[in-house]
Amino acid sequence: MPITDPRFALVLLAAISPAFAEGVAASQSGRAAPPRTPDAVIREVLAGSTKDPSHPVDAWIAELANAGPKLIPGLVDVLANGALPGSAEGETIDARQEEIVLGALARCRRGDLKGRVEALLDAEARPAARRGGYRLLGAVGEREDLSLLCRALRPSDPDADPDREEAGCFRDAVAGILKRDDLGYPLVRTLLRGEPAPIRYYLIDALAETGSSAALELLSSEPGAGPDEGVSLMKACARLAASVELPVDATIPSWIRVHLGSEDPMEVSAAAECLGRIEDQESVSELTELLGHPHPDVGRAALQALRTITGANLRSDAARWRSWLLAEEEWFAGASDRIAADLAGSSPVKKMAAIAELAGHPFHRREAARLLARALPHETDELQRVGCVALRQLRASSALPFLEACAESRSKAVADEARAAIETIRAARP
Amino acid sequence: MRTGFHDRARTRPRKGERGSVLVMAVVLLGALMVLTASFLRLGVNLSHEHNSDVDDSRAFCIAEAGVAEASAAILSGRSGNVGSQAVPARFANGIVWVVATDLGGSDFQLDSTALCDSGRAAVRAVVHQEFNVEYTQGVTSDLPLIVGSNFMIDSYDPAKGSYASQPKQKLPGHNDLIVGTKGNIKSNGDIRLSTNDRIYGDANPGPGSTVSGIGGNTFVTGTTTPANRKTAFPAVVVPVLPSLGTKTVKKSDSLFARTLSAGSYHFSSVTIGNQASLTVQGPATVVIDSLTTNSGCNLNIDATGGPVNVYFTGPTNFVSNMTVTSTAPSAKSISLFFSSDDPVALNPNATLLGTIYAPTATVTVSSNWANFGAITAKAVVLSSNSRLHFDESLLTQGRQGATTLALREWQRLPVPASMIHSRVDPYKLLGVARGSLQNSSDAYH
Repeated sequence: MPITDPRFALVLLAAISPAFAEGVAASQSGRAAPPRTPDAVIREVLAGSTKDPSHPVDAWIAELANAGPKLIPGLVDVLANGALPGSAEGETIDARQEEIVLGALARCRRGDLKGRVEALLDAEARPAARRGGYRLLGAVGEREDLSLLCRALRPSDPDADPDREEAGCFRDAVAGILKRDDLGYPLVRTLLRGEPAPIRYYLIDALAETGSSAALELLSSEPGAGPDEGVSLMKACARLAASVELPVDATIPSWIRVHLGSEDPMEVSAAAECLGRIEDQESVSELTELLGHPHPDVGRAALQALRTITGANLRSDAARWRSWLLAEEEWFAGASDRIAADLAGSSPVKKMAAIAELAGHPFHRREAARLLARALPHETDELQRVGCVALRQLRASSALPFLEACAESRSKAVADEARAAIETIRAARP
Repeated sequence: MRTGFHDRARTRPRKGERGSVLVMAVVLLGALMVLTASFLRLGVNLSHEHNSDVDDSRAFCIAEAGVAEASAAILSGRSGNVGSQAVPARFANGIVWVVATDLGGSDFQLDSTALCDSGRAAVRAVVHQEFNVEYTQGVTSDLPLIVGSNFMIDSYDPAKGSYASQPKQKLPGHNDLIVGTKGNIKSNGDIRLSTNDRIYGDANPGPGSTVSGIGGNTFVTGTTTPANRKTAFPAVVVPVLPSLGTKTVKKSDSLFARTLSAGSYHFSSVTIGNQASLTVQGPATVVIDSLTTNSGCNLNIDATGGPVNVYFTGPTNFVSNMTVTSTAPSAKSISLFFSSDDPVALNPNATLLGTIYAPTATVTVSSNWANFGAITAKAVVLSSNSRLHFDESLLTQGRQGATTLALREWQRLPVPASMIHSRVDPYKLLGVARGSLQNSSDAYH
């Protein structure tokens, strides 16, 4: 329809008439809808959240976040003062309202917050505001904020400890930033060397929360560690070792092994726990010696580590472990070439026998995984399925990439078995 | 007749055939006897095999019973050894002996060997000793319970949040804002209440004993019926840990040095210096032979990562101007055990979310000590104005008081070759007289 057509004018008129009518009505009543100020929006939303507790918090957060960055100064003020904008003195916000404010601010970009977070973390700020500041940086902070967080946690009295509750928020904030930005780790290394002991303590705690290999590498290299810090470092490493992807960088276990010689039994047990979790085969002889350690925690940790590394379920008997390890080494020295040849050969019977033999020696599961991953991709479905069964039995975490490929197999039997193996291996990690 | 004669004449054997039937019968009879003997032999063999299996099964059951006897011995405070190979113990129609080895860390290895007629069996079990206390009351005292004036006890469920965060209510006719009414107190003797004591729960004295002092502003909202039986106060089983020597915590020490991270510790003495702060992080087991605290010091127990059990085996000195704080999901997570007879004075400013157990000591609780959990002791003295909030989650521990054993490992052991090769009567084999052996339940040592 051309715009010169009179019918077009009619259609246009019909479309705009309700808006026109509304405008006329408003002007006739003498109250044009005033644009709501940011403070009014904040007040309305937060007051509404109290009146209607059944409405989910996320919905209120979305309502504030959708209003855009113009609300940021007001929201920061609410957090800083603990009161609604323009409210009477003594009228404070409740925990739910605080959560809504924080949630809305956490949806902003760090750049939009500019220097306002610093005000929240000021030493004179109220405790809840400071905790809010930490949480905010945990959600939107960048690696440059790590120094700010450390500064904020440092108590004014150099002999005093940081507030424990704040320290918990600090830990979560640092871990949150590092999880988003790997480039923060070198900065944390620098901070660990320069910060006083209480801050280092909570930085180590934060690193342990990240669950990343980079954090494990950083902590195992003992950056700026004092004489009392071995236990905390090893405990943090043991926590990290439970969640990192295997195998880890070869330098990590060599650093951890040094702690097996410590005089502090807690440090030794944490190091043993860590080595077990990262399945460090080179530490088995040292761990075997630790089975007879007078402190029960050390013996228990060494036994658990040996069981995890070797896949064997022997008792706490050093002589038995030594003879078993020797037998395994002898078996591997004599059988590895033959098994590799059988797997590369043409006889399916020999291949099946080779897979079965490998499945019976979990200590060498890494080598078994390598052999199977090399030999099986071009084999029959049946052999692949049996290979997956063997890898599941071995709990070979290094075979996960191969198993993940098998899980995509066109053969249902192979795919099912591969998925079961992946599940078993993942479940075996502490 | 003629016909009959003729038939008989025809069947009469010829001269050369006389006795051949007898020979055949003898041969058949012989064969039958051989067959019978063979089957008899086979039957006897099968019977022997069957009997041997039955005997082995019986011996196995007796060996298992030996493990049970050894466990009972450990729980009664003995070594766990039952009889010996030289002088075994009698059990049913067999004999048994158990060799117990203390593996440390409250683990015991029990090697039980049993012989029953021709049966032989040996089993090994590794058991772990655990010490549990049943907390069904806010306060439990073996001796008469003395309650100072203006004491108040109620209860709360930590699953619904902290005590402070939970809605409070006033019971009709009472003025206190309380959470729950399971704040029970109990004694094996009398309960002596004072002016203005408010018990929001039961107050049960021991058998034949009474609750005195009720009236006026002193009341018990629940029952005051005497208990039918006395409450047991099992001894504290202190974990066996190598001593790490003394631990002195100074204010100037780094936070690392002032923190006991998760693990097991045994210190011959712990001293917390002026204004110093010591933190224990769970899961942890800490044995302290002697505790000294100083002005303004602080003991923090953080059980958010796991339970913390602190065993005080000797004198403990909590100065009044120190602070004790705890962080835990419930009182189940923090336990303070006092195993010595030394009196325990809980004077500090404390907010303890946990339990206190002192079966041989007198515990005096000051008004500054706010306890969210339970207190069980030989004698409990509740000072005037003290408050206690029983943690209802303790009721769901589901364990009886006293020590328990948990099976860690079990396996069959090979029986010594000398006993396998000679399947004679066990008494003859070991050279012991049947009447000279004790029952297994009497052979603990």
